[in-house]
Amino acid sequence: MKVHEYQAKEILRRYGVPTPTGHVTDSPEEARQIAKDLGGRAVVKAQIHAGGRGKGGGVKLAKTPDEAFEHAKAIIGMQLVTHQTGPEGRKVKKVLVEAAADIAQELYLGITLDRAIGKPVLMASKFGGMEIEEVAHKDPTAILKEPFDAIAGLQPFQARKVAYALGLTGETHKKAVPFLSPSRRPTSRRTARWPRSTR
Amino acid sequence: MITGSGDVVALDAKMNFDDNALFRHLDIKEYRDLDEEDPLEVEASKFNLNYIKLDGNVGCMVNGAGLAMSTMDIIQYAGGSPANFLDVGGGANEEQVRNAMRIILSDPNVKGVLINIFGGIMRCDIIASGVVKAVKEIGCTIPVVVRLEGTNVEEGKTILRDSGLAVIPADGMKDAAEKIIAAVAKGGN
Repeated sequence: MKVHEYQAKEILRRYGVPTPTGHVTDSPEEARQIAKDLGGRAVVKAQIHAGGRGKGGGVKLAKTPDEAFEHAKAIIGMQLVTHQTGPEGRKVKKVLVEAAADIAQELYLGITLDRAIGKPVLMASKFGGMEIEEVAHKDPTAILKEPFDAIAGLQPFQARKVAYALGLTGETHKKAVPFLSPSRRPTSRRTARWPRSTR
Repeated sequence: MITGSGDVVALDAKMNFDDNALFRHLDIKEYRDLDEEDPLEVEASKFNLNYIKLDGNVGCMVNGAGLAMSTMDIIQYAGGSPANFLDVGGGANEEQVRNAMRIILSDPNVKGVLINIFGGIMRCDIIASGVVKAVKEIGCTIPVVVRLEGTNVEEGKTILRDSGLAVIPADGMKDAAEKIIAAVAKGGN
């Protein structure tokens, strides 16, 4: 079962992973208000179960609350076509309005199950942002893979190793390690132990 | 992403959960958005049917995932293209068969249906009466080929024969695949 970006971020926040502040809405009016509360500059992101939203015109930067209103009005109800939706596209019902981020560098991070070794694998790349599939296809060595134990989780030494390999140093490296380590919690804590209510 | 001030923040997030584990993660299950899923697959999941929509034109109703896979293979081998994967399960009842048939027929791409049942746990007469009811209810106008084998096969065949419906009987999988493809080709022209 896939979930929307705003839902996935809710889950991440529960485990202490920092995300930009924002709210989901199905009304352009509300999008304006959210942008206003965020200080004016905001990103309006279409919420559909498919990647490539930016290229398809489903992600727009608004410099003012009025622009957020206009973008939300255009995006909600549009038939968004991306390389993952098929030619008929998907109808957008909701947008996530988030504080515009000050992006210095985009990285990629993912966890998947490697069935051959029977372990979860952390995948990371310096070449984040859009079209990670394309990066992986052109240069497989650009994706770092770090398998870890499902029950013990990603160990701090592994997090440090990955952070260095991503070229992170100094304060950023220090912040990256706890960012990477809690990423084990949603996968291992949920399935390996008796399900408790979340934390 | 790394921000201008050196913070590490999750700018985007995509997650995918194992459907088979959702029953023990009810908080995650609440995130399910049925609008994003194929309406026929949502409909099928209500009746505990394993249905995956594909883009061919031969609908198939099979019991058992392995037999369903090989049925799709043999349709391809005979020069056709399956419209779906559908496993009605080992112990399906008449209601489920009726709904399965209804779901297959509501896909506008389907130009013919191949029913391939091996009656182990499943009884052939249950399948037969489910199919007859569904076809009568919906008013199916496309060719249907049925291959039955196993428990109560004779009763099943009798129900189909006495139903007055234009169902094409087949012996063996190869025969069934060839018959449905021939019937679809004739109907298409």
